[in-house]
Amino acid sequence: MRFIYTKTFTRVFTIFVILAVLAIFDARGYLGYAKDGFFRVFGAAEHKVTDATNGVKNIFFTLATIKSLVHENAALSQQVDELSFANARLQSARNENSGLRSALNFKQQSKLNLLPVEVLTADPTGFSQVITLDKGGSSQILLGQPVVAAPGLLIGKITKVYPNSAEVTLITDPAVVVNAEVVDSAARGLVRGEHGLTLSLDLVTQNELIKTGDHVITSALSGDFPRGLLIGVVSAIRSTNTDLFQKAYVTPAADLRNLRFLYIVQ
Amino acid sequence: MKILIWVLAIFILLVLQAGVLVPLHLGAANLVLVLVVVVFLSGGWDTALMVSLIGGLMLDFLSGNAVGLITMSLLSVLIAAHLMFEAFLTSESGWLIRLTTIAVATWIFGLSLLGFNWLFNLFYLGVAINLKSFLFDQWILSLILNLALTYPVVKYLQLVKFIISKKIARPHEQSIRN
Repeated sequence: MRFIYTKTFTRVFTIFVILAVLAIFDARGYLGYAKDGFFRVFGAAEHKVTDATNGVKNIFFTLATIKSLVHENAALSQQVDELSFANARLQSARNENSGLRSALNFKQQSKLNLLPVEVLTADPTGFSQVITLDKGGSSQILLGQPVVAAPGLLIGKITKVYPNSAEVTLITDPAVVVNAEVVDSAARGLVRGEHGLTLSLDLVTQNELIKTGDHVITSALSGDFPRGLLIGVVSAIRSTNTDLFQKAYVTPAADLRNLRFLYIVQ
Repeated sequence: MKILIWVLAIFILLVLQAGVLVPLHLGAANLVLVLVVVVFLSGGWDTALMVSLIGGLMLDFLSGNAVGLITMSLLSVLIAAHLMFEAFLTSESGWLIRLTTIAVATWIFGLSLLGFNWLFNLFYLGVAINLKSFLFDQWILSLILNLALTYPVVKYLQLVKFIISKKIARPHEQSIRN
């Protein structure tokens, strides 16, 4: 009997037709409320399981690293003191900068307008770097708005908006391209995700000096992201002198696997 | 009732994948794919079809992709397995057959995903993929983890079948007593 006349083929064909209809409905936004409900239920269950997993993970991690904790504590205490001193100097510089700008009639640098949100779900397969937030169009969330973690770490941008939830594509997704700047050398390039594993900094001209450990921030050249959001730290340089442009790997500053409370820049 | 139990079972499996595997950096595993293959090998073509539809839709919702991308890829794997086993292979579900089928299924799933993504991109519904990173990092990790997690998924399937048999047996017993 020919396969196309079998019950199997009929069922499979019917399912493909149903999926095509659902894909059209989804593209037109008719599945928004259904997705909202699913995200909330799934997110609630997932958070409980994740908290339990992280609790067990922390116990084993603590037991494994208990010896080094004393030394790490001492080093961190010293770092806190150094950072407090640096912070105080920066605060003073900021005040001076603000005064000088107003004296020169520059536009005052406005603070970011942040809307706090909570992460409901993340893509469990890792195929796409997408998370879902607990607020949507009803909270004036718009497509393309940047999403950050405190205190200014870039996470991604809003790529879909439903009535009561929104999807964020993380910076580790190849679809998100960020105009970036290396802090120390002011070298400019493009940061693109490497499928959830890391970030690559590309199109940096050969005459720019970049090195491992350099901080990478948003440059605001394209207008998609405000200037100064921390993207990550250069972890490796992967180009030679004969390449047209320099390339580097960048480790994201935020822990993109453990996201919970974020902010949307409005 | 049986469908409801399967919906719940797939939902719980996905919660475990997202809540346990992702924090442990093992998120590249695809437990729904493993479940589809294991259900198919245990002789349940209709059940495997249902699992691939329900599981695929849930994964499509969670991944943020256009609805149908992952579902169609899972269905392609199932159809390929059905045709291969009808034509060439025996459907005895020993461990070697299971692991080989899951390895091949992972490859077919990856290829189908790329193929359907290209098709969806014609309608501006696809996603951007870094092909090199997808093939050499994501895919290989997924293969290793799918094989490693086959045993727990087989045990999970046995648990689900046990629950279904209890739930379906009980109404029958009651009707016989009445």
